[in-house]
Amino acid sequence: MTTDTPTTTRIYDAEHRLPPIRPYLQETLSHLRFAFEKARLDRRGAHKDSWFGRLWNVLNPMLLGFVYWLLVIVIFGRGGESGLAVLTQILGGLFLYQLPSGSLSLGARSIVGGGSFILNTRIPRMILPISAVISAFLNFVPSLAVYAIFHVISGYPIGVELLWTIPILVIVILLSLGLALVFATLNVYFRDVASFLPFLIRIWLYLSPVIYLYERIANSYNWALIANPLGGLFASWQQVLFEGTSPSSGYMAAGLGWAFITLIVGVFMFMRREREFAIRL
Amino acid sequence: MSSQSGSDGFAVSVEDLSVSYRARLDHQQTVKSALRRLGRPKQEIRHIEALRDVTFKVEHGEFLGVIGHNGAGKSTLLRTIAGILPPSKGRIVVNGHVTTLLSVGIGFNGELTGRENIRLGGLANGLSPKEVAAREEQIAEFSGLGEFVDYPLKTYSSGMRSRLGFSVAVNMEPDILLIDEALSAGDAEFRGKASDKIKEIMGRARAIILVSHGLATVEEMATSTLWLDHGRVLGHGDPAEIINAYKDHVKARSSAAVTEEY
Repeated sequence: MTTDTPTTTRIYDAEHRLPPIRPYLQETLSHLRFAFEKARLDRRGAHKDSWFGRLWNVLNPMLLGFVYWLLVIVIFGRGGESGLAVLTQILGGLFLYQLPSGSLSLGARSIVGGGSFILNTRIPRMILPISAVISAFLNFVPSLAVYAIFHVISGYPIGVELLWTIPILVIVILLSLGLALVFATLNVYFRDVASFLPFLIRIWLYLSPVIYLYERIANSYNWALIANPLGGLFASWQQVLFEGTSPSSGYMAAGLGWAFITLIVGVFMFMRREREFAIRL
Repeated sequence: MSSQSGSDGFAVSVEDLSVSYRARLDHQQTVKSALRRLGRPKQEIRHIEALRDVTFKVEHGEFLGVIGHNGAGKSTLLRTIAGILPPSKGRIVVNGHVTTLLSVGIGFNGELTGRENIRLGGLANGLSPKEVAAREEQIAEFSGLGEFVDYPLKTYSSGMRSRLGFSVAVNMEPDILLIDEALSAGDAEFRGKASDKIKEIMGRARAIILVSHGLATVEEMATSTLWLDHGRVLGHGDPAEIINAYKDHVKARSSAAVTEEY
């Protein structure tokens, strides 16, 4: 309303075409503050009743990291490296993996779970998956601090190359947003998607260099890293964090390409279907 | 803001509007049902015509009361004007900023306090955080919820919820306010305050569309009345006239049902 003049005219008609893209995206952007506030408040509600509260956002990936570390060190007896170094690698990957996995699971539920919001307001619905990605990001931030401690203790390189983590994070967030939009839309039409999602998330974790080093596949199956939307990005992440180098341009390009494709597909798919959401819930 | 909007002066124009839902008989959609449907599409889809060929205009400063039986399409009409549901035929032109107050109040997260819901409601209506902060106290006070405003929404009674929702909506300074059954909620004191506020909004040349079963409320406050029956307009005009016709219709129908029975 603050930007609206009294002469704002809206026309709703029966033609189900794509809404005009620029005004739609502008209106979406003008509600970013709402998305952020909603993410913040939703998150606060999420762990309200548990004893550790929001500490769980860090505890969760840390415990998971510990489990994988046990698996790697104790059961498979990965030799040569120090246990701490391996644990740090695993944590670094898992913490980053929270972004796409959190965005996927929160995003997929955002529309179907947004019942009264969808039936009673006319804010661009894209705000809901965006808010889900912001939630995932806010969950991720404190784990960065935890990782930093492990990084220093394990003696991994510290230098300007670490700044590469910022563009990598930005690309991962864009990709996560694309994924959230795609799965939010799919879940409206096929409610099974939400049940299937935990498995997709777990399988994708194993197929990507998250808990193991990218070199394990880079030597023989480098194409698989490129073909995997998360592959190049997580390989770049590891190069920056553990090798102290700039990421390979090939990996970064692949990650950027995948992020753009996913985001564009997601935005169009979502916008095309958005007006139907209210009828489908 | 109080200047006449648009060159035609109307706030809402509904032209030849039809809205139909495609309801699937098995409501939950799963991959299995999708696979089963593959060969024979649309078999399980039923068209429900919620509104048929509805045409009317609302001028600035007008208070339109919408009446009709349950399922007549009243809420669908509001949602379509708000841009929530897509028309299947015809079109709607809206001049001005619309604020909706639909049945469930503001209804964000029930874990959040009333105050947090006010904040979200304000941001959702496009206010800046500064403006929200400026109006927060005013809205909380208008709602008359006292200390409950800092309690989680899930502890509220339905009357308290609608009071909060109503307070948020009217304090957004809407050009066009859509209200679904909310007035009948609060207690007598709040209702008095609410109708004062509504008169104030009307005084500023803004339009209100109210859906209500409270015929007395409509007759008292509305400047015109629209009567919907099974998605069609059966009457539009002077509230007293339309409401009388509606009452006669209801009586005739129930006595017809009685005579049929015997």
